[in-house]
Amino acid sequence: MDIKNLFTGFSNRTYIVGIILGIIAYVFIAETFLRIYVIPNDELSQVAVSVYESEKRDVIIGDSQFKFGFPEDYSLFEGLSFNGMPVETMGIILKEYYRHRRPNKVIIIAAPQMLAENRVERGDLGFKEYFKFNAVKLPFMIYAFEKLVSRNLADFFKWIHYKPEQQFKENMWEETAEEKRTEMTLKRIETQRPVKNFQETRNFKSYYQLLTLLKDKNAKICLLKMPVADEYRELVRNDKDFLEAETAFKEMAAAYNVKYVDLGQIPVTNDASLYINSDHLNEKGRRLFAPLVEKYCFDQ
Amino acid sequence: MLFNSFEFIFLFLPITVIGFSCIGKYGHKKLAVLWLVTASLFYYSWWNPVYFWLITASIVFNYGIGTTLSKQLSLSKFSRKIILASGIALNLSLLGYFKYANFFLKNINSLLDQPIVHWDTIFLPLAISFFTFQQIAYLADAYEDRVHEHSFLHYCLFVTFFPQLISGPIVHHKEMMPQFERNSTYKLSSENIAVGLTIFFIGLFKKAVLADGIAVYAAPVFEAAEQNILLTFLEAWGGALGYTFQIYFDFSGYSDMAIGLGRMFGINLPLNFHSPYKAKSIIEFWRRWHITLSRFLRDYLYIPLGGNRKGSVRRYLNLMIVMFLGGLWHGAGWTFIAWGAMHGFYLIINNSWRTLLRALGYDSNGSGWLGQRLSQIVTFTAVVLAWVIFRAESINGAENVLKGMAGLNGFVMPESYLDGLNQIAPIKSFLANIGWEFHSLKFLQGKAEILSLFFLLIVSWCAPNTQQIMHRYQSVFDIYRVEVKKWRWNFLRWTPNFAWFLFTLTLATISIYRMMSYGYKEFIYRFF
Repeated sequence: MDIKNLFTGFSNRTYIVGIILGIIAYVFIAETFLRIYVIPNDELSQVAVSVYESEKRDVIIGDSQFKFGFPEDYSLFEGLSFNGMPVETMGIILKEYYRHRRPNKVIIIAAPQMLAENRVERGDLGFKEYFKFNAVKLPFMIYAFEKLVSRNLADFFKWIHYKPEQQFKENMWEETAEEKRTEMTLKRIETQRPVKNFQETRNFKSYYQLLTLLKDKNAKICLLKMPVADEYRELVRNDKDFLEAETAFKEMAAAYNVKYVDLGQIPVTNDASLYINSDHLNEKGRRLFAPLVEKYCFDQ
Repeated sequence: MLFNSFEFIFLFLPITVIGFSCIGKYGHKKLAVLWLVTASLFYYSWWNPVYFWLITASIVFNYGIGTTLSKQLSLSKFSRKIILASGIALNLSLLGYFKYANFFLKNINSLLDQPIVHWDTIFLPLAISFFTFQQIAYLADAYEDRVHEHSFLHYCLFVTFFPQLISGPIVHHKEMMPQFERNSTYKLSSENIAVGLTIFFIGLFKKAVLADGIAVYAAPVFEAAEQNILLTFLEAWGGALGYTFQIYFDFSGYSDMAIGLGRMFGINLPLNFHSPYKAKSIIEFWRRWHITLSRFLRDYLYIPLGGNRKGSVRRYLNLMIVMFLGGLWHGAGWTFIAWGAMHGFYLIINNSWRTLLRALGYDSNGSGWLGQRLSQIVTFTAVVLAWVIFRAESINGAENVLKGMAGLNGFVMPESYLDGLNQIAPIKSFLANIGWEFHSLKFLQGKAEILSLFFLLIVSWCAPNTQQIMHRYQSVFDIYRVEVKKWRWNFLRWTPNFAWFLFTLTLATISIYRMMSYGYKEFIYRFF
């Protein structure tokens, strides 16, 4: 090395090599950090990893109802679900997932909360900016360059000290007093109420776009509605907005000649012991319903 | 593909440089040029492959007209004029169709109750304003018999050379061709790469960290103005200054990156940006901001219109026409036209003031330190006011921001801002007496925003610019009477040593961190 002091003697070549190696080292450190601290804990990053790396052709995609609805060892399908997923985002993820794969069985959530105001407002969640490196099939992926993952570098300290959120108590719903359960369910229903004229929203129209995309690729599709607790079911039984959403999903299924399955309608005992809250299954619920999904969705 | 994207920095650039180096090493000059042209066309087509045909057709057409003009000197002057005029007319028609048709038809339709023309939105092809102007200049030079190099491959590279293709600098045929001819251009030099890399990363830092960083403060203010939300004094000034520094570091960053990239391939591009906020007059501002556009407008519009040779009134009219068209060049919208007209008006005042000073026997260029600083502040304020119109989406939006800046919507400040000062003097009661209110503000993001704006003001006013830092290595093609004065402190001049290595690596890694964490935004000038 020809360093004399800080201000003299560095050949151009040493300077160039130093900068290039420095940048490579930086990218390597960022990649290592993301793989160790972020990807195992961040559900969106896990979706990115699935898109780039999964070998499965069968997919389950939806919001937290699906996330909670299937056991972690439910390995037949690739789980691409995350909390609060809007339909536009779902379309983008499916498009990217099947860019280099041939689809087989695809289970898509078809539930009223997908048409609620918070989903409409979220749009595509900025997902159009992601998966830029999926344009070509890469032999390996550097996640430091995939914004869906690398944006977590902005919260460096959060991930360094990350502790997983406290899981819901498995039998929470069962232990909640009936009156309180009704009160909580009413609140929940209001946040999940489909917006007026949901048919006009880009969110709802995205369902048609994603179904067209999958149909064009000859996918076997199932539109699936997860079961909800009795309180929830009773309170929306005659609710116009919820009924309208259900009808829309049935019409959609008919238009594309795909199955619409409401797991809440199948003949199994549905009680509070299966739920952590009004609309999310617990481990017992998952173990009961998940094995039935494939049968109801794809068996003739 | 943007200069500030991963695919450019980690794939396109290394592959292009290595390919160029390998081909050049074995003395295949033509092949090396072909490699660069192919890479540049690939770079251009990345956005939309359809554009490839447009730029190719434009190149072939202009090359045909240009060679006819420069080789068929025996043609009558009238015939040559007709050929030149048709060439320019076709270029301008193309630009007019893609860039201005939507705007004019929209305005015609809005003037009439019944729309007379139905028109599908035309999408603006990338960089059309830049490559059209560059080729018009080439045709004019060919007409004047200033073109003596006719290699088609070199011409293609002159138009498409990717460092300057998307947002300039607008280069002259005579500046580039001799560089393409030089044998040394095709031998990759470690000095060129080291200088180029350093300039590139300085530019990347300006764009990814400074410009994109301050943009988050400016955007909400202008969005609020479009929705007729009242902006108070500090909020409006925060937004206006935010955009003032955003566009400064965005364009300065882009220009540095373009110059750095050119240098890596042994090509010096012309200086395009020379610390414009240090200008002490609007005349000087236009000699420092987008220098190659100013040069184009001067040489191919202002001077042919008569320049300053036909009396004061005609000179001012010419200035107004040039700035009006300069505004329109930036975009098809009333705000751009108003911005151009405003600068035309500024230039008229500036020139009149100089004439008056000279008539009274004062030196229009000389004044003391204080006078110079005052001139700088007045110039800067005028530029900020004009940027408000440039940035706003509508004249109404601009008016709302300007009203806020004039204090017409009141003076409000969060009380916490005075915490320290109140211990020294009863500032709060003083401000309250002159009409200030104290509560939180929605569109001013707090002390971080104020400190950021102050920091960027200091940088743009006091720091050496990239050309001054790289002074020893002549990083730009020397044009247009711009003096790149040496910076007074020697250590601030780049040389390949450990301190500069650490500095450049720090800029590079912070920029890449920022791109990873917050993504990357398009360059503002990419839309012009």
